[in-house]
Amino acid sequence: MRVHKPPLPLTPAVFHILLALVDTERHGYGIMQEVAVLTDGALRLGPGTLYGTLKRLVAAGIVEESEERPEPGNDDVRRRYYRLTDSGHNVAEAEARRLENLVHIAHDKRLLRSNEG
Amino acid sequence: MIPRGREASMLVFRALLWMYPQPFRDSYGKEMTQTFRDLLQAEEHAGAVGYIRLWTRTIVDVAGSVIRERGEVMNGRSLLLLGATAMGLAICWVDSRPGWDDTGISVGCILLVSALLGAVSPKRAWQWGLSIGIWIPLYNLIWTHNYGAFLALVPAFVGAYIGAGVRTVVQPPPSRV
Repeated sequence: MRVHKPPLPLTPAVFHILLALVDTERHGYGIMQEVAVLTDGALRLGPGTLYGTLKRLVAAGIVEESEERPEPGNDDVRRRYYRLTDSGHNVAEAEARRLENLVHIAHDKRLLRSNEG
Repeated sequence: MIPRGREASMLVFRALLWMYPQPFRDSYGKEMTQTFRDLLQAEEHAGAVGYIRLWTRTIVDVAGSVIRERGEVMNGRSLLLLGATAMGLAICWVDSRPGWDDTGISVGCILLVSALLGAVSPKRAWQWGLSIGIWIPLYNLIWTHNYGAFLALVPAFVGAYIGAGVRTVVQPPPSRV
């Protein structure tokens, strides 16, 4: 199956959703909560943005529905869980490296000062 | 017991879901409802402020995502219909300005735009006529009870069918369409 990867740079919503799914599978509300925690509440995804983005990520083969449930006994069986595919890991890693490079450039240009000293 | 605010909010949210395209609603409607219920429960402790905060975010989110999802499923014809409606509304807006008294220009614009769209898609000529010409009559019917404004439909339909006729003569449609 041909997979369409989103071009870099990713939108903030996409990258944060991928980050939320890097370590474990989550359901929609779980992704929202994780994104809010990761950004200190600065980015709050609404249901429309979240599921619209998930739809595109699933179609692109970056995210897939997961049968595994982190807490099987303590969960609503109607919820759908999502996880990153291998391709999704690669896309998230590529975007993280791109951002890392940008931070290096910002340091080199003395926009950011190192915490040391 | 379920708080009344949550019940009403869920009702409104379910109604808003109808704005999304059906395939999207079928795939994600239940999950979106469940997620919105979770969000409501999380905000309920803040009372009215929580509801206002959540609804402000939700309305912005729904507006943006409906446009995005609708845009994805829109084909060329739907976009043309949207454009025709926008043109019709724009002509109606100009025509309804208090200082505007040049009916000839309004009629000319309606005729021209309808003819162009009729030429682009001849099989939908009646749709172009209606979507461009209906707004001036509606406006006049509501605000001035002027039934004579329904005459604005005439140049709209005449234009659309002239455009369609010209297109059909110049370039006959393929037999499979």
